[in-house]
Amino acid sequence: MNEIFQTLKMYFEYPFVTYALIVGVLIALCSSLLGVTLVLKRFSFIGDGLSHVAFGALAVASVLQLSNKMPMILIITVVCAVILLSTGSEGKMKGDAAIAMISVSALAIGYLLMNVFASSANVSGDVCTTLFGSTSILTLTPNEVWLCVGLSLTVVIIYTLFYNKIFAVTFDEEFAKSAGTKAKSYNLMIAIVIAVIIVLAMNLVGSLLISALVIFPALSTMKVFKSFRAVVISSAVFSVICAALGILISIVYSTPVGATIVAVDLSGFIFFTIYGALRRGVS
Amino acid sequence: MKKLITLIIIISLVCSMTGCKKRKDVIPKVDSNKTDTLQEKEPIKDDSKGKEEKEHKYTDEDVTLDMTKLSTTMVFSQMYNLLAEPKEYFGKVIRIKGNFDSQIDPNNNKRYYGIFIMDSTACCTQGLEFEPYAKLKYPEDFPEIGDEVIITGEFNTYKEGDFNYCNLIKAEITKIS
Repeated sequence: MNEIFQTLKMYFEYPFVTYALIVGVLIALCSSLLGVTLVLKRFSFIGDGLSHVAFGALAVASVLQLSNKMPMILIITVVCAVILLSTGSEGKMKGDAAIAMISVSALAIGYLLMNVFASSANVSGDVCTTLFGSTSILTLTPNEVWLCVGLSLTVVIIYTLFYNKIFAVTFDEEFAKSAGTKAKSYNLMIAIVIAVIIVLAMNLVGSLLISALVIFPALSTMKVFKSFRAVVISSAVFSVICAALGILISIVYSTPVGATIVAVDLSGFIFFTIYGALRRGVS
Repeated sequence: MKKLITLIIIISLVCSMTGCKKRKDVIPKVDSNKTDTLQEKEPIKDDSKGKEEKEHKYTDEDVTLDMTKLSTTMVFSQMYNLLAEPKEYFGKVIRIKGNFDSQIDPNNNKRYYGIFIMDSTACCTQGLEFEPYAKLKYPEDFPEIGDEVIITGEFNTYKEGDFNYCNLIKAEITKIS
């Protein structure tokens, strides 16, 4: 154990490890906040769908040889998020079908473009890294870190300021509308925020594993807590701890960062499930 | 009011995570005297046999960044940082463990030597070119392609054609397998 602490102490002296922890924790925090809303609105797979859209956007940006790909990925992902989410319950094509269609199309087109217009010698490696996020979080520049911090802070502020409205639109959109809440506007806002989080989260866990960051914290804490506020706060804590733990385990034991974080999330989910069952059994 | 207080608390928590503190350099500044000593060193000549010393012997104290002590994930990330921020590492003595490779560039008929490392999933590879300290003959004085080696050398950047490249100069090769 002492050896592990000594190793971690040495690793913390490398700036890219600090950057990874800061960004990883902030992304996990933002994902968990919106994850509660998505799970309750039965849009759990939106993270997966939008991440595939982001992958497709990344492929287009690579083909166009843009030096800074983030703006293009953000714009395309936001547009798709708005199409999928802002119609709320009024959309002609319901959530799961729309997500599936856009998701697989973006993934296929993205992979096709990356192969046909390959911009590097190792296409498989680039695709693998983008899909699974093996070391992306550990290769951030200071500018990227500040961008992530800024965007994460914006998400947290928006969530805190509009907490009551988000709560109303999440649980009963029809009632919220009849009470005078502009449900469409808040759905649009949620859609944009989710898109931003998905694009940031691609750096942490890769495109294929983003859903874990969104779903696991909410589902785990719902096993124990019942109120919306308690679930939101506990899922934020859960997500931050699992992300930090996952990053540290991966750098010490040389495991892929994204998969390790998801494995820690899964372990947490199992623990909370057992704890919740025991608590219900006792009471 | 409650919301404002909550917001202030959250922003403070977020800012505290991103707060800057003076961190001691993980890669200490290179002592200019030490650098001069390294640059002035000539290959040791064995007068009795008339042969040149084929290696420059770096000690552990000479090495400013020893990547052989890091995990695979850390090595891959550090290698990326070497190439992304070369100015931070210029002149520093770096030790890397990886696989040896050598290729001839058909454009200029020049032979290049490199060391390659893989990430934890073994799907991605990064490499760094190196120039041996003394004039070695290929392939007699070099390991086999793919052999695991440790390369210790001074980090350098140079321009060839229109592009800037990074490499390790005055490199010492230690074969592991």
